[in-house]
Amino acid sequence: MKPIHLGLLCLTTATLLALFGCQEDDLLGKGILVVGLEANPTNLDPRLSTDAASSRINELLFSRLFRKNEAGEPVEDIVEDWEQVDPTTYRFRIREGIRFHDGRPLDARDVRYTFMSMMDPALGSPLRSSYQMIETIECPDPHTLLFRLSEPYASLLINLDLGILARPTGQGAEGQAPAGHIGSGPFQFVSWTQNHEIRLKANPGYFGGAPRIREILFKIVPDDTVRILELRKGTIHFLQNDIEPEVLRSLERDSRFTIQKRQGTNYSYMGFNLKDPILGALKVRQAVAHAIDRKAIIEHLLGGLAVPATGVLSSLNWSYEPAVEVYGYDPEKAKRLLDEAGHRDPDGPGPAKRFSLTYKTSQNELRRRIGEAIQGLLGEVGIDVKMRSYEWGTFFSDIRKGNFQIYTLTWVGITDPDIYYYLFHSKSIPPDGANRGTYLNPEMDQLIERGRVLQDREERKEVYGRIQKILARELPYVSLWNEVNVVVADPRVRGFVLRPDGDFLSLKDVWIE
Amino acid sequence: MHSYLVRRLLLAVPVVLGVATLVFLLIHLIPGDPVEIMLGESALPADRDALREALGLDRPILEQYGSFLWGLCRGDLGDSLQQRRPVTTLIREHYPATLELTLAAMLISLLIALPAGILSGIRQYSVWDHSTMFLALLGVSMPNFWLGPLLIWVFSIQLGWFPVSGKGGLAHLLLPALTLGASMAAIVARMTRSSVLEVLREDYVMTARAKGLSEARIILKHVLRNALLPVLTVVGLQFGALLAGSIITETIFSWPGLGTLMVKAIQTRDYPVVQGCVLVISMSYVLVNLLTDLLYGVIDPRIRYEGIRE
Repeated sequence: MKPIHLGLLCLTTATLLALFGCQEDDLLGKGILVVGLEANPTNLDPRLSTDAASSRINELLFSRLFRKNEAGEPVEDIVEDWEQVDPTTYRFRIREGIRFHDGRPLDARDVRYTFMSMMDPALGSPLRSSYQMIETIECPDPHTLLFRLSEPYASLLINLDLGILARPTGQGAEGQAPAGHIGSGPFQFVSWTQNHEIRLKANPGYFGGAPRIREILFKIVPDDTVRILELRKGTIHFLQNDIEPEVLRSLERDSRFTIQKRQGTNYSYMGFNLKDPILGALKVRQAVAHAIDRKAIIEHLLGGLAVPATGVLSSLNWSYEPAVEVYGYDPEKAKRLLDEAGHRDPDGPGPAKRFSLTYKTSQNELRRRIGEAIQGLLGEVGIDVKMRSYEWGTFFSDIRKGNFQIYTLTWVGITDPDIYYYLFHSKSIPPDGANRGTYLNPEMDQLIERGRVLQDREERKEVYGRIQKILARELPYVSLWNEVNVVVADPRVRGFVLRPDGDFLSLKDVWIE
Repeated sequence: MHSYLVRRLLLAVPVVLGVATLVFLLIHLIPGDPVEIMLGESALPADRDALREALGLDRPILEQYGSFLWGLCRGDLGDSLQQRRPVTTLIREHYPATLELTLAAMLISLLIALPAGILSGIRQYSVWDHSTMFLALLGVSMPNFWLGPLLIWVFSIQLGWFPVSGKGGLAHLLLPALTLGASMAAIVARMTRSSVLEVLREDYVMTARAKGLSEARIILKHVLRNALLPVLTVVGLQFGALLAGSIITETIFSWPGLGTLMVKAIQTRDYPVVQGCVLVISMSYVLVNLLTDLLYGVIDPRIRYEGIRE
């Protein structure tokens, strides 16, 4: 190439780079916090959304009657005071002066509209089953609500953690946000570019005090590696969870970031198909529990980002029972239990196995590595494990149909002990619930039903304590661990309190230093 | 020409129908119930049944297929099961981004590949030739899920020249387009080199040299036009590969295109969205191939598309 041509090429390249090269603004300096999200929310209508991404954002957009505290107990949000008139009737008084983001005052009729529309079968809300006990909602005055239930339900208040929508008035304004996005929360909806970003701005009239940051920009970055690269470049200022343990170690050594960690409520477990002739035997399940070295998996695969769990409820929950049977890593005991169950090792230390199990998991890379570790650990006690990983839809379908022997999964955001009805009651066998392993125990059914209707907290706690002891003894699940929530942030982001359920609500109190 | 166009467009109809039928069958055959995924496990059986009925998923498969075809004739691709919004709206929101990325990838790859391939062919066995072919081998060997993060690390993080991900101005477009187009650039460069070498050996090129024409005139007027025909075929075929490959690139760079939409739709068994996306991609592919065939006639006047003679 002639020198003049080379010179022209360099000049052109430099010009192009100057014109189109990256000139990143310091958004944080302007009061705009960029939060990385690993998935696009499916729906910002709180009546229709079940995925974590949608729920996290809805917490900021919408106020609700009650919110959950860190122990999973209901705490008043827009409710000023309340009373239980009788076992099936609740009266709520909501605060005055609360306004929606479009300026309209929030009153009891909006609350009634939200719940009644959500319970209308025509809407097809996935949350409807949680409210089927609500018979009527009355509004004796603009700030009072009367909920009448068909039967006593002790977990009603925790289930009133549903974002309140403005009822339609038929008088839409020009440029008004879609009706499903108008809330009264600390942030208001600005825009949503699908699979790209969601913008919220501070609600200066928020009844709990205006947020100190101007805007939140949720940047949707599905790729784990790219999300971290954005963080390193400074174009994302805040990340919560979904960080590989090895990556977190490198971020901890980087003084450009602050790290917070806290035990969460996400519960990882191994589920059994109790109709399987091998796994139907308690001693086999106990053997599996003793064969899994949870501490080693937590240390080496999860980077310490979990704590061993003893049951579905985390130790932070108000109804947690610590005095349950635990299964420490003891491969010799596992072998003895398998012998007692009639599954002797055919050749002692030789390669032949006692029996074979199929272990199903998703295609998530970390899950597969955990699966491989479990496969190896169970192999050491003579159980041949064939691991099968599937695309999520196929995996979930198999689990729902009972087409499995063992699998591992995580329950996300467990806060209320009424979850036991959903997981272990005999009426919750799929397709009617999540009792996927077909656990059947009449005593358990009675205790669960009792826990649902008892009004006294200490009595409920006692009942749920017994439930936890039975489950720990009978092992429909082997409890693996509770995940630790992690936040990595720009050090200028101050005031965020990491909550056990990993929500973003504390962003309303954050400020930029 | 007119009758040729009409004939080709009519032929596209069974092709698109065939694709639509195939994807309809495949998506309905794979395990997974979209209603269960939508409503979750806690939904009431009555709600599940009601939603299944409302979405028409309780009808026999043939009836659903007929309904799908009828909607297709009216331009109605149905509503997304997950987002409860028209599929045409979702495609309208996402397709331009995919098209932008694909065309940019194609442009970049041609800007790199054509000059590189021509020069390689003209300077066979030179340092330039060997270097270009080595780079072409690299380009076709590097998967885009590896190349993308590498480019981000070098150009966005270390050098700070470009944004990491997302859609915005031209600065946001360059790295994803390069990632997507690298493989095509490699293939087209090699194809161009082979084609140029073949044409350079033709008698008319020798004649042109004997007549004393300049090398530049020979290359531009005699070699290039004849060499480009096979290259054009490859470019047309590669467009389909670019569209398919955009799924991974869009995920890496958080590019809000059709690929991102489709991956999520497959995971959640959002049948209408999957069907709609595949239809749009297949129609795009058919149109690009038609355009490729028409360009033959522009490049080579000997190629003309006649109507049927009586």
